[in-house]
Amino acid sequence: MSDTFACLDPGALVSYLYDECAADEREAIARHLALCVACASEVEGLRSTRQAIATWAPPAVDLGLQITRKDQAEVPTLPGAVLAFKRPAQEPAARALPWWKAPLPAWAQVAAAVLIFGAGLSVGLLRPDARSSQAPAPQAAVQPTTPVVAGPSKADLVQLEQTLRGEMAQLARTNVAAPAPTPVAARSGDDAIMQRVQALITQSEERQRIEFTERSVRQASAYEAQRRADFESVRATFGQTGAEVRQQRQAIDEINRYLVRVNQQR
Amino acid sequence: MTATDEELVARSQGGDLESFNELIVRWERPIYALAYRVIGREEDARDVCQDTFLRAYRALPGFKGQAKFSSWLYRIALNLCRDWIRRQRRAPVSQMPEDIDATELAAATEPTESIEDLVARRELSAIVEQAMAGLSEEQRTAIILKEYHGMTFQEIADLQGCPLSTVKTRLYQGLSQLRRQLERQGQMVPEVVKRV
Repeated sequence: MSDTFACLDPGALVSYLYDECAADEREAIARHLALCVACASEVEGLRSTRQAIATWAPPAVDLGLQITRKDQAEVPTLPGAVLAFKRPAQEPAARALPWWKAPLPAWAQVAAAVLIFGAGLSVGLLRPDARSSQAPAPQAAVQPTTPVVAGPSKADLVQLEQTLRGEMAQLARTNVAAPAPTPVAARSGDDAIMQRVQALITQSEERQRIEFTERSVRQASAYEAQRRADFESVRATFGQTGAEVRQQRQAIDEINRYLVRVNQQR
Repeated sequence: MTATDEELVARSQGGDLESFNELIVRWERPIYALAYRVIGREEDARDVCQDTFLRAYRALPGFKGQAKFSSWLYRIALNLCRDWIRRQRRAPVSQMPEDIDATELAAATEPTESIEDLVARRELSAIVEQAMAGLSEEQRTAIILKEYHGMTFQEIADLQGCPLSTVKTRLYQGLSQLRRQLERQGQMVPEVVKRV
């Protein structure tokens, strides 16, 4: 191509853009672009467009195509076809929903709810200001021997867990046997479970509140005792130090007086 | 050592099914990508891709190796795409992406790419897809073969059955139209503005 190609010639600009031209042609176009603002702008615009369209990617799909004999084909074959494709069987729902979006089974939902509630309860009880507003309990008023309210123990919770698991397993078996259970029965069963869970949680909360108060009183007493012991120790240390200082001061005074006497004698 | 396409084709012509399946593994993604970009529908692109390999297998005894196997495959795929477009009797409509999910985005993020960057890239991708659907079939196919499949002008001309100069004109006009469309969408700064 000569140096005198037509300005804004599409063929030349596209060849230059895709670097698909002879070396001398490329040099000629480059020289022209250095002088011609319109052509340089056009090439730059097309280059930007190329960068933008590079972002377009087709959706990622699992093709898994495989040609196979007709007798092994898993999809209907055309009449007279010798071969057919075997494609991976995919449930539409499974393909539409990734695993993290799939609905949880009922037992997992209940377990997650209990776990979240327990975690929230623990955080609430560990906050120092949360208890202080509900149970101010001056130290003198609360005795260390406060009777413990009979709340659910660990054994109770284990038993509840086993009961719930049994009921859920039974529910699952019922679902398998009868795919369409009556909504009323399911709802009443769920309500009963939720009431029991709620009652146990309330008892547990009460028991933990009392334990927390007792622990606070014990810690306050221990703190006070330690404070007194420390105070006595400090006072004793200071007294001892004061006596030592007085003794040293007396010794220095003695030395001073001796030096004064020696000077006067001279 | 990896067998070449020509070696696999020769074995396939001798009745070795596994060799042809190896060719499928090698080329199914590019063929699917081509079909998807040309016709713009995921399921139909999948069907075109499947038909392409089925037809190729049936026509394999007649393939004498005048062209590269991949070029031959592209030609079959493009013919099927053209048939599909004729059947539809309308411009291809690209499937717009569904609402953006943060979890999916996080999983799809490149190690060096923030979620914001990924969202921007996906938005731009959707706009490009829409703009490409507005091109003529010839322009769109020329740009797809050039940009996403790295073909030369001559290879595109052979596939499209037109002179080389026509390919350049299609590329230039298609890119110019895309550029105007992207500028209207605010995805590119017009060169006039850049110069000011």
